[in-house]
Amino acid sequence: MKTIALYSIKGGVGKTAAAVNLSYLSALTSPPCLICDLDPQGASSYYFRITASKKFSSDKFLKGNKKIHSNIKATDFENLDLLPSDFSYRNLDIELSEEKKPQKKLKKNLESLSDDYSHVFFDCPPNLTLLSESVFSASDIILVPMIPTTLSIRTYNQLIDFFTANNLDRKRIRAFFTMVEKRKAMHRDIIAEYGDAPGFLRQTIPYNSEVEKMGVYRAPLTAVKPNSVASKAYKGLFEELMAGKAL
Amino acid sequence: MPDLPETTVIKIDPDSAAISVPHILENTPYSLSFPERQKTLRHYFDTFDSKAFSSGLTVQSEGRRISIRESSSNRILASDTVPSNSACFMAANFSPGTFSTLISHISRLRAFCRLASFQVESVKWRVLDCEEKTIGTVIDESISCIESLKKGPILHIITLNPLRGYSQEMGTLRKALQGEMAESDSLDAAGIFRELMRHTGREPGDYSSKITLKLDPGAQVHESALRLLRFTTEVMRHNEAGIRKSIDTEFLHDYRVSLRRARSILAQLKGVFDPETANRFRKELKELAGRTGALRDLDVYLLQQHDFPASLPPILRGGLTPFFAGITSARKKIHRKLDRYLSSEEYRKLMSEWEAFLSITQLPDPEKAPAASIATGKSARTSIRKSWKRVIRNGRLVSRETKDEELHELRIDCKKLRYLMEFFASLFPSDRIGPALKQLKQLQENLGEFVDCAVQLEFLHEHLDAASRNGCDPGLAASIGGLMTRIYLTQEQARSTFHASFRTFDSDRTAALFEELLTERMYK
Ligand SMILES: Nc1ncnc2c1ncn2[C@@H]1O[C@H](COP(=O)(O)OP(=O)(O)OP(=O)(O)O)[C@@H](O)[C@H]1O
Ligand SMILES: [Mg+2]
Repeated sequence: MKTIALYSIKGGVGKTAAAVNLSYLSALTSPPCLICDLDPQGASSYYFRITASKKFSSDKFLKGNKKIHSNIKATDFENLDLLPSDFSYRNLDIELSEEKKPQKKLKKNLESLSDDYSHVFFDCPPNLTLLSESVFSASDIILVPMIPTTLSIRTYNQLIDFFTANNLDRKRIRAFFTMVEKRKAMHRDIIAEYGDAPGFLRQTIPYNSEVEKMGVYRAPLTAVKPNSVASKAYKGLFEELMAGKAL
Repeated sequence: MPDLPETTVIKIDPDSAAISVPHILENTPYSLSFPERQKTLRHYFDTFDSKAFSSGLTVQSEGRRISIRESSSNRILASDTVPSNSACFMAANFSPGTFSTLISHISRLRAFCRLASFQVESVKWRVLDCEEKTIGTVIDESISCIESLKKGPILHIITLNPLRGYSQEMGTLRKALQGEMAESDSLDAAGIFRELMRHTGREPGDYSSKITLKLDPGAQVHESALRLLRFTTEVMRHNEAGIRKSIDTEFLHDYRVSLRRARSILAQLKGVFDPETANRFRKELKELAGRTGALRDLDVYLLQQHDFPASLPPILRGGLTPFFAGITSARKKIHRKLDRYLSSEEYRKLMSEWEAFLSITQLPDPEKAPAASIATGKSARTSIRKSWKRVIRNGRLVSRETKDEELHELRIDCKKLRYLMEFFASLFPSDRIGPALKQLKQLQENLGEFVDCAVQLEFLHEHLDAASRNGCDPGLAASIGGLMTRIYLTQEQARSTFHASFRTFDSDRTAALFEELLTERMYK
């Protein structure tokens, strides 16, 4: 089982869009796949039309194994399951801080799934919290979407610094540019500068209104419109990711 | 993916008024997707001896897909595309994968043949919740016999498949459906299969080459022997078609075992039949066995087509290709000959005379057959005891060098004892005969291995001789040499363990087992 976290300190950068589309592609080509919605806002659960069972909550999530197992739900797509988030997840950080080894908690909780899925995607909430630290140690790849702006580069560097300061392996971080608008000079410049830097994937995701429409389709764009420009870009991104030696 | 939720199959009386799934669901919070209608042919497959069914599995094809399902849950364990010759198949007809692995697990030797075909008219809906998320599927199927489509459906079922995480929601639906139908019945795939088979006049698992007769210890042994012979003859008859069509090698094998059993009864139950008639049939059946022997020998090699090469170093493996090609073409010829014989007037006459003999229930002349009226229980005890003692006596005579002939002969003695015990098994409590048979089987395994190796060595030697007369290819010679060495090692291994395995059989413990088995007070 390989784990991939869609993560960034900044919000609204396309984490959920990438998690939803990449997990669908993964279910197609290297099934089965699980997507874990770790964001209390539940955006990826929403895209798959799934709500958590009434009994599911953050303390169940922290209890792990059995509780997680029984709350996994099938999406409408073959070989793709989802662990829905719940609004109670907003307390995850506080609850994690009461655990003995909060950084290891997620990894431990998911151990029992390792035979069931070939890939697990985490859709993370923004910010740098105890939960993100737990995600960092549980993930084989930390995939960071970046809108090509100088501010994004700054937060990306903050992440690298955090990894270095905490003795985490920064080689697991992969960044890619998203919501790219070719007509914007700053986008072009930043991509020219960082596009082939180590840890950056070559494939970029263009700004495309089809992606926004996923909220209307309530399904991965790669499933509904596999031939749209954005879908093809996600496919390229997925293939590049799989070709990389980490997966 | 892990533990899938449970499927429910609801059976509906096909004659009852039309059931409308959409109508029933109106009072639930769920809605249905646009229906997908389909009309397909469904074929069920199994081996001649119902191996899939007895392993709790069903094998069925619809369109180009063939699947193996767990009967209790209807869950598909593996699926593949139907092979081009779709009436019969074996694991080798599929490309390697879960499906072919499962097929060979169910049976490595037997072919899967089409049992029956049905027309299935189905309507499939996805069940949607208020977010239009699919929570499962409902399939409404009407199944009709291909042979009698006009009669209409023979089975009407509704299947509910919840998606993972939605068992509870689908449970609401199940209740609604079951509540609406007064006489609904829950079924599993095995139940459906059995019910469909019943409509075609078949009972899954009705064939077995094992002797399943229940004998009466008080009946005259003549009557019991006839019943046994009729049984073995029926098994032979059941297998004729499969031999002639060359469906798999087990048809001939079962046929030969039954034939050998029949000969063994005739030979061992002395004084039960008029000796003149018995000897005549013994001779004829022996000839019949002879006619089938060559084909079986070749089958045995062809069954080793993968194991033989695999046991050789890679450079020698290729040499066996012409060897197997030769056997394959020889088999074709010999099979054609046997096929012709089985359809001949000569065979028909032999079998009808034999069957006529078996249908005469009148006791033979007591002068000629003095033992015919003895009680079966007594006869069983005496004959088994005699045969057992003979194995012990001859086994003890086997020299330190364990010569080939000694082991060959002892093997035949063991076989005779084995057949007797199997004929009469139903007379004894199974917890007594079981352990005694087990002891015998262990000894037989050792002897069987030895003799099989001897036969193979001889065959390979002859093959090599014949090949060298025609200017043998050195690759073939080397491969066969390698094979012979390996077989020889196995044979010597069997030889060297003979005395130890015989000692186990010739032990006080085994003797006590047999004594207890053969003491009269055991019968009730
Ligand atoms: N390539 C794209 N082109 C156009 N719109 C996009 C693209 N990717 C994402 N969006 C839109 O941008 C918004 C934010 O995207 P998304 O929810 O995926 O980001 P996020 O990083 O998960 O946000 P959050 O931090 O709130 O979880 C959404 O409305 C989404 O539809
Ligand atoms: Mg998000």
